[in-house]
Amino acid sequence: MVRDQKAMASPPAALPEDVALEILARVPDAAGLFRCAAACRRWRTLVADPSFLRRRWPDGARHPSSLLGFFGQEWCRRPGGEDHGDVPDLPGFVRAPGSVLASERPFLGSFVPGAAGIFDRAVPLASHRGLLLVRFVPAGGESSADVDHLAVCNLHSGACDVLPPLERGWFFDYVDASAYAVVNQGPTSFKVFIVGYNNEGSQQYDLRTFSSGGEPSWSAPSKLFNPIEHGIFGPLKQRGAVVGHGTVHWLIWDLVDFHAIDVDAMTGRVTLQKLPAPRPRDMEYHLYDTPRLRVAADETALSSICLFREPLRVETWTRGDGGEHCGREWCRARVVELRPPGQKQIDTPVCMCLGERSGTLLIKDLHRCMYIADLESGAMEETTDKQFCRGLDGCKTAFPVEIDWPAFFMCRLGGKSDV
Amino acid sequence: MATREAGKKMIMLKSPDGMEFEVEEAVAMESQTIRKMIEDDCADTAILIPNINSKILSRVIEYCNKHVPTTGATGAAASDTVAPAALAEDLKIWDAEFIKVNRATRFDLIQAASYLNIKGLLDLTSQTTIDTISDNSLEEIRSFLSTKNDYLPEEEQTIRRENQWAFQ
Repeated sequence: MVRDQKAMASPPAALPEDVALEILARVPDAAGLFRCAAACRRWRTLVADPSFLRRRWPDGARHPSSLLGFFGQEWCRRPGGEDHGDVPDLPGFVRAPGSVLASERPFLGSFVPGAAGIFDRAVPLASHRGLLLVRFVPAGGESSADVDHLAVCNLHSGACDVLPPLERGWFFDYVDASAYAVVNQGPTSFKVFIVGYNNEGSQQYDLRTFSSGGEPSWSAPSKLFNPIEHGIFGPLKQRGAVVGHGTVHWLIWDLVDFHAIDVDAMTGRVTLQKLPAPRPRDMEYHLYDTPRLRVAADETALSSICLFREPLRVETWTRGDGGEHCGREWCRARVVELRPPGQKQIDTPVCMCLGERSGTLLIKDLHRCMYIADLESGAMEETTDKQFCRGLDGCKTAFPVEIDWPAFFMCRLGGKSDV
Repeated sequence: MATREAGKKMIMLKSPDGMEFEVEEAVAMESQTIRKMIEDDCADTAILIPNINSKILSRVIEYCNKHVPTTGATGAAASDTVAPAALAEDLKIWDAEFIKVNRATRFDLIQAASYLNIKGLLDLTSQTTIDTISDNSLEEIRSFLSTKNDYLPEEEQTIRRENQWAFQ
């Protein structure tokens, strides 16, 4: 029964460990918790403890505090009208309502000090476990349309790796047809995948890769898949891949059905599989929005999440893990009815992005009103923050930036004192 | 020693400094730790509460007395006549008064609430500290928690430089 020998022995001024833990577990804001860890070594040890962090952010639960904000993607139209083509548009970062980043806090620059200003001129392309693959404009603006400048930023450690410039050539003849993935393979190891459509030669999707730790160069283009062989002619959707269990997943649309592309990150083996929803008949009536692939935080299963308009709901279909019982069949795991604020009628909603950790959907309607929907309860909240709406206005989709707080705290505080 | 008095089961709580407190079982069971002991039948005689001195224990009992749900069966007059909202408001005022204690006492209460597992008391006693942590700078947090900064100056500088997001 007596378990506090240690606490009794410490001087009266110091807070006993159990008291300190009770307090720390209740600090609502990650920035406040981080400041506690910075107060002294003892508090740092208490915070950077895996069991404490799991208690604070339980596995499997959704954590709204993970959502830092969004980057706008895919301008509907350019503000100036003319498309000059040489400098890519750079929609800025917009912090999410309730984000740990206060309005006066600079964004990713302060999370990734190693990036030294790259983030002022960067757009994210893909992410996986704290890694963010970005395209950036080099300082001085001396960029050429034929060369792609990419970097991999680690939101957890704050490191940034600038990749060798990538000659586009035919590979990036049509930038909008390319898709990206970054796979976190360990503390400092990662692999980057870029898929491009070879318009001039083979008329197939080619793959180029970059692996950290090896030769500092891009692989030569190799065949990923030939759409003719699969009878799939259509654009790649959701061009930033989701990654689970060493497999990279993209989405492709043949103008009727959606298909998941699975690429084994080690072997490069490709498989395609048709998604069960939305069904072709839904398309006739424009009842649905483009589905999105999602891999749960524990990377156990691949899901497809689709917004349906009538009635307004979100369907989650989950694929079997290949085991004995269900193989790779898709089954409808969940239907959540969305509840607009104050019974409001939402006109032609589209899903701009899906935040995996925070369990949120960013939804825009025909009148450019924006909502954040809770995937668990279906509650929708309209965002009235002018800066937020203006920042994402004119974009078709958005890229959510989320942070895995336990991993972040372990990475920044878990090491010895020289961190 | 468990005794019966006017139909209520009584429990004896003992502090390490030798004081004994006789309380209703329902009041003692506000503490999940004590509830577990009673349910597991480990509470035939007096229960010794280690690490919590009589001054703090008496305050904890005072809190539990106030917060124990009143039911018609135990003959509490208030519950039938006073609206729940008014009762909650009354409790809030009482809590605000209760927590007007010095810092050392508050930390003792947090520790007691944590050991005895009394969620309401834990929330109440730790809230001020949490507010201070959430709203204040590193220096204010240190002084409030009476922790000594044992980082080397350059270490602290590195932490701050690499984590501006948390310090602005």
